[in-house]
Amino acid sequence: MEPLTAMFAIILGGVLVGICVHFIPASATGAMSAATGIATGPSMLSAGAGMAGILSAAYSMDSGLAVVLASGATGSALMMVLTILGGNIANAFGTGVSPASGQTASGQSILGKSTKDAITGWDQKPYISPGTDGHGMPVQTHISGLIGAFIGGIGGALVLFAVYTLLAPILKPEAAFTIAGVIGAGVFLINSVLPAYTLVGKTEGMFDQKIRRTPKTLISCLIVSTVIAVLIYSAAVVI
Amino acid sequence: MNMDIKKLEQICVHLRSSAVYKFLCINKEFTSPQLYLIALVLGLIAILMVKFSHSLTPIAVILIWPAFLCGANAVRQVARYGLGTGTASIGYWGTAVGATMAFTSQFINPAYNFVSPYFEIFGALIVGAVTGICAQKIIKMKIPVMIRDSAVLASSTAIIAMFFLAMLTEYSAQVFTLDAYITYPLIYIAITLAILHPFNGSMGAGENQKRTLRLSALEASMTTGLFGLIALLFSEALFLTGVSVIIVSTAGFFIFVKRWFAAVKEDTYEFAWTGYPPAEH
Repeated sequence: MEPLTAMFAIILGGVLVGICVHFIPASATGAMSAATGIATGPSMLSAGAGMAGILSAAYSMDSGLAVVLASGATGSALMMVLTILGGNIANAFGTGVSPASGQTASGQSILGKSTKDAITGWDQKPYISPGTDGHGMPVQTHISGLIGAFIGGIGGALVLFAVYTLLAPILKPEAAFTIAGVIGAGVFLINSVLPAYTLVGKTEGMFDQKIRRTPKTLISCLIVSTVIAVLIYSAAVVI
Repeated sequence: MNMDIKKLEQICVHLRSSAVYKFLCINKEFTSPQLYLIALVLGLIAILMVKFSHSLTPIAVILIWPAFLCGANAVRQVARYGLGTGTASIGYWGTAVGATMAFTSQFINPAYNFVSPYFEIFGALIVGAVTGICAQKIIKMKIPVMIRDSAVLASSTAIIAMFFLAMLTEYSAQVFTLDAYITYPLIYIAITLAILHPFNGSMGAGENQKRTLRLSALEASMTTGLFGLIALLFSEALFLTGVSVIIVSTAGFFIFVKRWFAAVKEDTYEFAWTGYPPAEH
């Protein structure tokens, strides 16, 4: 990968990371089973998925870009699936509530007035506990999280590969590898916090009305990633 | 004896009304630009001192503490408005910008080493400001201090990261900054915790800047002490640096823990003696 291409790859990776946050269901009040989504802030959850992706991508660094991206996406998606499974087990057998989408149950999701799960067709309304905005992760939310983690994993792996390409000619391999990983994680964290501002700490994923705010995130992440990529490129190639 | 006490009281009254006391802002809050100016000047001096001679590290460690206070205050300023993300997230974000920029110093051609640490610190300031502008203008967040404090937060973490990178280096003993790459994740997480925790640990109805900054100073001394230990284990050439940093940080820790605990007791005096909430007596 040419240095200039690597710079554009860092920008693209940053933007993909930003978009992925909109797909990952997260809610702080989910900790009390009072809202649909994994019980943490969207940015922290996305960052966790991204780091899992970067770690798995690192294992296939010598196998070329396509394998690195596939490895990152798979690692990230696996982390997300296991987290959702763990959350649902805690909700079902610990708290005693079944996974249900609050927005779909109230007819406010992007599916319109339908109160049924977009994938299974199961009605969500009867399963909502009074006074809550849903709980757990129903199938449509689960699939959304999977897609989000897949996108985020590709973004993280792309940044890792691009930074490694920039550093490999000027540093010894272990140092280039470690620094690329830390910078990849840094770029992931920077871009995963910006969407959290638009989501205001809570989202049900791609069926949430907040998915319509993705263009704002896209533009913000594009600008911030461009500045970071230019600075990294300047430090590695120009100066 | 009574005369002595009266004289002492008069001196105390005189001191409290003096300009020096007011300048130290004991009763009034520091603003972000004030703290940033102190952190930037002292931080740059600290980094340059360590680069000039490693024997000056124990003094430089004291000069880097204001950067921790500045970062913690920036988190406090932004998080007080109620973010769309948590206090932890903004701390992670700030350090992500600062530490990422600091680590880019490793790519710079040694012939252009003179641009470091200015390139990294001002690079972080730019990225922080751009993120603040995006949050304010594109995402339309209603936080008036967003641009200023995002920039201050990112830059102050870059100052701290650059200092730790310089501290773990001893050119005369062939321990180069690049050799410290295994400590990068630790540098990242340690700075993050020291920056985000003071406000997170003090937040609530009675939160005030004095107590938050005292907790921040306490955590700053703990963090520098930790890196003194790392320097000690990292290389034999850094043995004296490590020991001296641990001694200075421990002294700072005991001073700050006393000051912080005094502030805690002062803020909770209503509860300390009765054992009942104020509404019940």
